[in-house]
Amino acid sequence: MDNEGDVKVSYWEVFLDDVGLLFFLGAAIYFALYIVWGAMEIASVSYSPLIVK
Amino acid sequence: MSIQAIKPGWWQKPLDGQEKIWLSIAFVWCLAITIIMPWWHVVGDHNMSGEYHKITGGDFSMLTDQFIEKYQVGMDEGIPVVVPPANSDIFLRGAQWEWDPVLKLKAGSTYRLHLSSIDVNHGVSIQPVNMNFQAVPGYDSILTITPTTKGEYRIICNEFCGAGHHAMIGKLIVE
Repeated sequence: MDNEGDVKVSYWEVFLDDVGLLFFLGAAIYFALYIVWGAMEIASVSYSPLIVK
Repeated sequence: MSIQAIKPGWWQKPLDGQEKIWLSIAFVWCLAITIIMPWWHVVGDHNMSGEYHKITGGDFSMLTDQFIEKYQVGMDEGIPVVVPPANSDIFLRGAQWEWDPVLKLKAGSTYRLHLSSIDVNHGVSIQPVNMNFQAVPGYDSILTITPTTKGEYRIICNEFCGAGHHAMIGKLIVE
């Protein structure tokens, strides 16, 4: 257990060791992306061409 | 998260040989399934994604009524029976709690089947072949179909749609 306090800890290590944050981002990012994707799909559906407006 | 606490500073350490192997396998597999999904969608022997458009219940009903008026040949228990020509647009309307019209199709001919509901969501389950689709209100879902086996099929609603759901049974005839 020598000099553990002296080890330089990178921001990547802090980020990847934060399992709570990773879990939140893993859910939140896909939640947001799927909502956007669904909204894009719904918005892109055209009206039936069989109906002459 | 590992069982044992990892010593601080792991980010600076080089990757272990086994870790490199497993990371490589995972990466290659990710690439493989990313390619397989669209590839199998195109070359797999299954139905392609259907075409669909927005439509109001009123407009879909109007199209269905026009279709019935044009091709009706009789009635079956109060439901009109239609015999549409091959390669035409055919319509199946779901409503609480019936399917109409009765479609009489020719084996080997291709049709563009328009499915929709004029009230709530209904499930279109063609039995006994067990082909399942959705009749979604507000959407005209179009399936290109070629019936191959002659017979009389039942169209069962398999999406609970209210008090008469169990009696919502239509008919499809292939001659």
